[in-house]
Amino acid sequence: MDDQALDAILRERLAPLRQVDEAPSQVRSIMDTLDKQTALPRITARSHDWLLLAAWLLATLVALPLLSQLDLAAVSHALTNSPVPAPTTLLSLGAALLVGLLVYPMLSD
Amino acid sequence: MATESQQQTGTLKPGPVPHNPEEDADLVRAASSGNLHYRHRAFAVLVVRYERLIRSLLRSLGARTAEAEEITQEAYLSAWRNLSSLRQPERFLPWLKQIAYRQFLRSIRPDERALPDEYAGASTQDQPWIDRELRTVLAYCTRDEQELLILCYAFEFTIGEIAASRSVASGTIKSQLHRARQKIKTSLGENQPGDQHNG
Repeated sequence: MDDQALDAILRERLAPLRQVDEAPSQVRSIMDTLDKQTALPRITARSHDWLLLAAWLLATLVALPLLSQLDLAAVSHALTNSPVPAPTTLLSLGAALLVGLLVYPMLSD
Repeated sequence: MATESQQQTGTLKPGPVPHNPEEDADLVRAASSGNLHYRHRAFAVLVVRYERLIRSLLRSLGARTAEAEEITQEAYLSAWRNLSSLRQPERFLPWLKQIAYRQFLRSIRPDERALPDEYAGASTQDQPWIDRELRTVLAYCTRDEQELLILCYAFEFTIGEIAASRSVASGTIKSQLHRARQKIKTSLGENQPGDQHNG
């Protein structure tokens, strides 16, 4: 018997050992441990999306007065009392939207 | 074509997912960077793919069920922590097997290993993982030689990987493996002369 034939016999006849384990899957156990170690909150994809949206809204609200260089009272007055938004309010909303669009991809990454 | 060993292992479950290094590489990249939630999901696929193979490796080397589960978990956690150090992501499986084997060597001393009875030539009707003929000839090998044969031929370790895991020179493994193969060759010749192994 040559070496190649011996290799083939050993490879073929020991191959069933690759399936010798019949215990139940431990995928969940491994992933749960990994989640705990990396402190990843157990959230679903749907709630994950809601969290991102909430973060986006928060960032937008924070950025609004800063970028528009208006005080919050003026913005509030323009939004609630004026039938037609003042140009400065439109500008501030546009700036906030722009900031939101920039921030959202960073948060979702 | 069903081989003799396949016929004898008729109770086997469907095989594991075929090893696809390119898909593994994609999963490793996805698990290495970006949003943690999606990294976990990519890594979970790698766990699903190979956890049973890793446990089978450990069981074949003599780990008990609970020990195999514990070492498999530790191996995966270690792989997760060190994923960024894997230079060739397509070699995830060989890398993971090495991690598991190193962990096995650290965790279970040779005298604590519970090698399946069939390696000693004993009859195990319920789990005939190895055909009778090879069981008989494996019994001629020492435990260390059996381990080398299993690592090389069942789980496709290279000599270099075994040597690195055991922290010995490749030449040492090569000569041990040569000795084991010679024993098998001689035993196969003695037990069943002729050309009966090629079918």
